[in-house]
Amino acid sequence: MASIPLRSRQPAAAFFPDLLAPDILHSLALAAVDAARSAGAEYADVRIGDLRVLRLGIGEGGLVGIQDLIGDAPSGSIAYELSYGIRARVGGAWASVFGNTCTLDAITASAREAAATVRSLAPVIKQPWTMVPAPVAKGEWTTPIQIDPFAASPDEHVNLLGAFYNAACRTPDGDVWPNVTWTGETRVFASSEGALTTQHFTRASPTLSLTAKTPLMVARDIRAVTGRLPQLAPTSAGLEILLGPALQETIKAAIVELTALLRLPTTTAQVGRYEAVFDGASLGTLAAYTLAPAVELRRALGYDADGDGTSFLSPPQDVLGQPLFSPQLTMTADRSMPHYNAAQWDDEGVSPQTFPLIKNGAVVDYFTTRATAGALASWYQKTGQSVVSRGSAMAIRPRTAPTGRASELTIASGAPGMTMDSLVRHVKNGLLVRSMEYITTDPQLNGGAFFPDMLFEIKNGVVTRRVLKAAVQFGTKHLWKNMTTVGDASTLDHGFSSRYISPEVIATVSVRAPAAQFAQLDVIQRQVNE
Amino acid sequence: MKIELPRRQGAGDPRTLVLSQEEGERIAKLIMSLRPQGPFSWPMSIVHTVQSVTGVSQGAVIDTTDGDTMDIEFWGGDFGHYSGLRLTTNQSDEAMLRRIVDQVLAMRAPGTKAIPDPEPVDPDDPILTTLNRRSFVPVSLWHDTTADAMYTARNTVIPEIVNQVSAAGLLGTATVGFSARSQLVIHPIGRLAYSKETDCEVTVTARTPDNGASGWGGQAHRDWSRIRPELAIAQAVDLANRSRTRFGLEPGRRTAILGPAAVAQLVRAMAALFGSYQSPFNTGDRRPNRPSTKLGQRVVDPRVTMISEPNDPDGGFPPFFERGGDAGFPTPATTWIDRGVLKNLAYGVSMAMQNGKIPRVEPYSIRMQPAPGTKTATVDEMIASCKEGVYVHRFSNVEMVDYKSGVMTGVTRDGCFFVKNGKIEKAIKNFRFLDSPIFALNKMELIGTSERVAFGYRNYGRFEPRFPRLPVIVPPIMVHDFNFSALADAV
Repeated sequence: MASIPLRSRQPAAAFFPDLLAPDILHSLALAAVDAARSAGAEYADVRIGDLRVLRLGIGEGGLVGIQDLIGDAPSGSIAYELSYGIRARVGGAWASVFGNTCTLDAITASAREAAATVRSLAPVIKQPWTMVPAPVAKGEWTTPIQIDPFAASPDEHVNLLGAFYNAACRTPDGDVWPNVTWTGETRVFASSEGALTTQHFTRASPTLSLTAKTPLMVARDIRAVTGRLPQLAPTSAGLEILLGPALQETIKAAIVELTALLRLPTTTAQVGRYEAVFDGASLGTLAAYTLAPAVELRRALGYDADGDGTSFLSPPQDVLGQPLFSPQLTMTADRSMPHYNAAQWDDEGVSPQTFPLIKNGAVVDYFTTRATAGALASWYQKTGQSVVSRGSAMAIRPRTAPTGRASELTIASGAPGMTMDSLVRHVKNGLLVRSMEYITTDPQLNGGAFFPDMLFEIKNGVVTRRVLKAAVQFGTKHLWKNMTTVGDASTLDHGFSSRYISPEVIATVSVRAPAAQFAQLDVIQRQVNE
Repeated sequence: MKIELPRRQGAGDPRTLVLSQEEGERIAKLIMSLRPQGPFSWPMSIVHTVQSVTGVSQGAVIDTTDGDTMDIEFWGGDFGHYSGLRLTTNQSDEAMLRRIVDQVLAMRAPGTKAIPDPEPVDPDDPILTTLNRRSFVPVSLWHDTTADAMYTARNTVIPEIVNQVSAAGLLGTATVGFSARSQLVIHPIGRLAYSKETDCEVTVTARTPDNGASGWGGQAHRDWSRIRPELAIAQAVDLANRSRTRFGLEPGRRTAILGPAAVAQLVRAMAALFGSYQSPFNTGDRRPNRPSTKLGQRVVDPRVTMISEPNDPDGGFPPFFERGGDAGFPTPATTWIDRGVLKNLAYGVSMAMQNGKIPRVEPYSIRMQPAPGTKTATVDEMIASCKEGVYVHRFSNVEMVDYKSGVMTGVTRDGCFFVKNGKIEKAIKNFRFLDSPIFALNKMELIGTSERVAFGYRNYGRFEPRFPRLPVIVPPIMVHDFNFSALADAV
């Protein structure tokens, strides 16, 4: 078979069909809203999205044509998606209809279909909820970026990734597989209340998977360990985030550190209860899998009981204000720039707020929508807050119905001076959890388990050995209650969770978190019956 | 050219709900015609899915999500085996497709010459031609009854769920979902694969008002006329009522009676083990005179048989690889385990060619059943024969921990009971487990008859991007020394 190099010097934007003009999107959205209302909907809203995705990467199995340049191969993908989602409401019932044929006939037919469906089901509703009010949103917003990634050519993108690759290759045992997914989207929102917004998003999902494999690991057939580069979280930004020499130096430093950890002697996990230090990425991952979905109100109200599950932070009226976790724990929702989901308006036309979810160990709010925020009315009134949605409604694709979803959160860091070294120094006999990327939970998020590849023994304040074959089981509330010390701002990093919410649509939660020390971590051995 | 979509309500003939083979071929022909020289080396696939999903929660909220998606995926250029530029779009409009393909061609730099592959594929290679001659297993995965009911059945089923669960003094959350899907794959070396399928599920979760207990019931079938929503409702209500007072039981190794919904979660997660380089079935040992697989060896209890039959009357699946470079190659009916003996492993096309094997897709759709002649037992009979153990109605959040041993973890959900002296003694709190289904199937005491199991509207993976999930048909089993590793406080 022959191969053709991926080498275009045209701007990447040239590889996408012309986007539909915003005024056409407006016309379609307004027509759909009118059609739904005429067909009997009390309320209707519409999202239409014109999405383009460009992914370029270097790694195993890439394109061979550019080997002469960087010694490995780039690969790429382009996706183009035009789709809409229409919601109609009657009483407490909602119907959503989605599609991808963006013509006037198709979208108005869908709107009428949504209204007809909801009218037929509304009589079943026994306890209708009301939508909380919101200002009528109107306007246009564009992600503020310096360099449009779609104005650069694939060659320029690949050369940039090649520089990262070369930086990693300058370390003795390192490797890096860089890839970046650029997303550009024009999304129009319209509602029967008169809202009409247009937002132009530019988003980057860079992943630099660092790999280190020492000769000893090769000899013992221990698999390579990968890590992520903390500076490269998914973000709303342009190409400027990948420019400059600092990133290459960071890559080299990260691989050197990773390699040093992997050169430590190894031991097998011993069952027991240990003190533990989590680095920022691991703490962020822990929060992304356990706390973030637990404060999604839809889940706490039991609406997903037949699907993903419920929340241990339920019922909200018994949870709000109670000191459930360590007083060191404060977690805030934040969709402002430069977060990946930064927006001027959410998918119900509400401006996103930065607001606390957990304050000094007590839950003080949930992710809501205009449809669900009313469930917290008594709490908001009791604490002197307006009964409003805080702008957390998200439709990851226009075709998915908006729900109050966790996206970007921040855990507050501790007092200056509590560095990673300092946290480790305070541990006599414990464990260090690094770069944890995955946790499995139960459907109520009440507990979970993880199986860390990067687990290290700490003896008298010194990291001594790498611990293999460990499994950690935990109760969520108990674990977060046992967080004794939080690291300072120098320990901040990102942790993530991701899950499919419908076929091929992934919801990602990003939590920026400091390192932290825990009083107790229950460890068992990973393998059984061998 | 415009393929007119969607054709949902009022479409008349339900058979026209999804893209037909002729319509798919017209799209494919357009894309192929835009390429100036030679065929694409990689297959082109078009998937059209029409769905209707209705959820109800506590009789207070109803969400419906109806619509259709079109996914066209193709590879721009004569790219090598693992390389290329992948394009996906949901637009079937001619002008849109023409622009996309033009841009793909523009990605070739002017004057660029193809780099010869050091090991080019010989189109006359007897292995390849043998594979190409393989025919598709004939399947009938489409049921007009399901397409007919897609937008109408919920009008009776949803009120029935709300009323019955409420009448029992419980909070109900339920999903009624339908899917109609067609898929066309065209490969440049002459293969064309087309399938058309329907599927549907009803799942019901009933919880006590204090959220202290939960029960679940589910029904799934490709044919709506085979769905019995009332059974799902009754099971959910019964399990919730019986779980109102739950006790904590010490974790540890215990005899476990696993209902079909629990077994399905384990067996579904086993699919990857049949295709993994390192698994309990494939040691990956490359040393001379050492078998690298356990083919021909007994790997589980001799009363267990596992098969994947594309035309399984209780499920079935498209008889070809659906994704990636292997898309469109036929996959045959396969016996994976016969009377406990490993008979086949899953191989992609490339690996199959290298090893003289037949390509077989990993068994995301699978039937586990008692071997012929095996005495079967119902769940009630298993409970009656159990001196002390745990009945697990369903597992949830099952994840692979270690491919080499097949060890998985997950939690019990929606019905977990302590069994003593042949009777269910009391409801107990949930457990986390840490065990391998291979170990469990080697410690099997009893096995029942098989049934298709619903999975619910959640937890899609990139290897199985569809709802409902591919059919898994399994029996209840009773095993000893199952490893319940911790208590799980979840309800």
